[in-house]
Amino acid sequence: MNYIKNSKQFRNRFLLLFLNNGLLVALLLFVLVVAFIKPSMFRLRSLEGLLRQSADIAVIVFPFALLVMAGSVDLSVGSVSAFCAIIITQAAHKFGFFPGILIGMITGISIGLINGLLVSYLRLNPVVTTLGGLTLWQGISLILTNAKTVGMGSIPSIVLDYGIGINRILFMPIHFYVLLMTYILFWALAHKHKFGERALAIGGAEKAAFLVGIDVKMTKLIAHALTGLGAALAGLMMLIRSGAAHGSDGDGLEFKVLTIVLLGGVSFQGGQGRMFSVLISLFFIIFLQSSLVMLRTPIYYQYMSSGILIILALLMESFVRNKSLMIS
Amino acid sequence: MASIYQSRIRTPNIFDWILNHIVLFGLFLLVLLFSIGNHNFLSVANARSILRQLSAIGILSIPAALILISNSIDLSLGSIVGLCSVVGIEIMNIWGFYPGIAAFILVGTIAGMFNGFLISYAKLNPVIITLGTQILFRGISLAISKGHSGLPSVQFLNIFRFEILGLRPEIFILLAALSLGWLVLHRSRFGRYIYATGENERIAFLMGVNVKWLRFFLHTIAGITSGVVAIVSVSKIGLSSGSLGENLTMPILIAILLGGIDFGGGSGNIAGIIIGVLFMGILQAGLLIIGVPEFVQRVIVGAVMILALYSSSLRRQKHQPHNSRKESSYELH
Repeated sequence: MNYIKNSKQFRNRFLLLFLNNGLLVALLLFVLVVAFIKPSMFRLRSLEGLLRQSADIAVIVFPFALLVMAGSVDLSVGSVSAFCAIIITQAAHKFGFFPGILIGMITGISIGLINGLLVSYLRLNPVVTTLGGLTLWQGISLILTNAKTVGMGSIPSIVLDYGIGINRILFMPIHFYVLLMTYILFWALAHKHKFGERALAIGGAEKAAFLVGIDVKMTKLIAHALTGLGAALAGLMMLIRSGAAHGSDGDGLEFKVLTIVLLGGVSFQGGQGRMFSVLISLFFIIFLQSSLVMLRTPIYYQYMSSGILIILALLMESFVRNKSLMIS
Repeated sequence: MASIYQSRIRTPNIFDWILNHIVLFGLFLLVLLFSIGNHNFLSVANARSILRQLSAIGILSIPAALILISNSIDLSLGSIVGLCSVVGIEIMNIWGFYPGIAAFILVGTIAGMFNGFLISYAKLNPVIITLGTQILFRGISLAISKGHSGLPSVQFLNIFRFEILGLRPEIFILLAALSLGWLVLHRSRFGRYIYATGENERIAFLMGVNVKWLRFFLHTIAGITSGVVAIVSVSKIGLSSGSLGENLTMPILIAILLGGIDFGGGSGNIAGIIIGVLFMGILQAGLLIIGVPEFVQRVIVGAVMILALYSSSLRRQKHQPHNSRKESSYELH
């Protein structure tokens, strides 16, 4: 009996190991296939483009992942990022570029705090609250700008040169450092700091976390504020690349981020997730989208692929959850 | 327990009544406000046109409400409407009228079954799944129509544009949906099963309710209804397009939340849904009539959504004793 049980356990462990790193394998396979069809994808310049796109989204993906681990969600990040970008351009006109950035970041954090207050202190359902916020902030930024593109000339051209990767630091575009720093920061916050441990505990079993003595509401509030800051940073990254902002800039960003986070194995129920998988998933999605563009897939199929990916990610997650329940 | 009984025997006063019927009160306030804003607002012709405009939301909010009562959710209904309209009109233009109508309903059914299967049999989170299928269905309908809008035949428009007693057929469909919803929810065993499933899935299962099949069935019904709404919308607009129904999901959700259906299921009734739908329809039409810019409307809709959610959570805290709250991930705090 013991032998059978062990072999079953071994098989399950192996399956789990594969599932946990399956995304990495899928990414490598996919890269190989694309390399075969379209070698020009692997020129240095294309790879650098991939890096830049990854960094643009990374600033919001990692705080978002932390938020989902804590059992909440923020679907308003897309319109908040556009709103913050608009605020930055307007403030940069008046007070100069760096005070403008500061004001934009404060705006993002405040919106995150509002979301956090609604979700954790007033106990509203995060999905619906932030869906309302999505419409609300988009409406406000369209009113403010009268649906026009704003902010041409508010960004100094030297910053724009950094934003499109002409100016470099140590032979690398600044996006590389942004990606690295965000990843290390949030990896440490999620897996090496007590805050991450608390967030994961809350996501796993909120009542138990409360009974242990964790300040559930405050932790969720901070996670929301971090996500708001991340959205503002995403707006800033969009801004320094394009030099102008529009109220519909961040459309669809929330679904992209959600897809990346779910595909990265973060459980939507909260309490599970690794930042490394999220990083791999980020590369995977960015690579997938770029290669779909490079292979000239019609836009509708690109649109469909993100829907399919969300469903696949959830199926995978529920499979992993069932397997890990069996093992323990 | 004492506090519950106390609140029941407390003498009713006007503030209590307003608090308990806050949406009804808000509805009166809204009508008053719009009547002051525009003198033509309170007229039979306007009432008729508002009724026509809210019929799509009204028809679709019944199955959406049933789904929410059974503690699931469907955010993809708007996309299903778009998909049905695209496929239905394509087939109608190729094979004729009746196959086209069948295609409308069939596509809705399949889409609803797809949602229902993923949610109840594959046990995936309904919120995220329907967000995903929303994108998926929208993508499929754009891929089929290639971004062009389709023109329905004259026969189709003639059939769905007759008037009885000065009312278009969609209003009768709305009334039929409402009475059917009332019958199912308040006068049938199936309705009790829906409440039981939403209130406590485990106990409903132990009682002998086939919980999985029930949710699957409700999602399928919602898909079929989306097909009907697609027919209504196409006949109203005179076009089919993949982006039809894009602005339907939020108002439906707001209407049923205002109507007193909680997140987490197990409560709500048809009368509440009627009031919620009326509120949403009159808000949308009135904002248009008094000439509020489109972007301001968006802000107002978003704010009303959060307020509706807040009011529903207040109601829940008031009516449920604290220790009997369900242990779903968002209910526990």
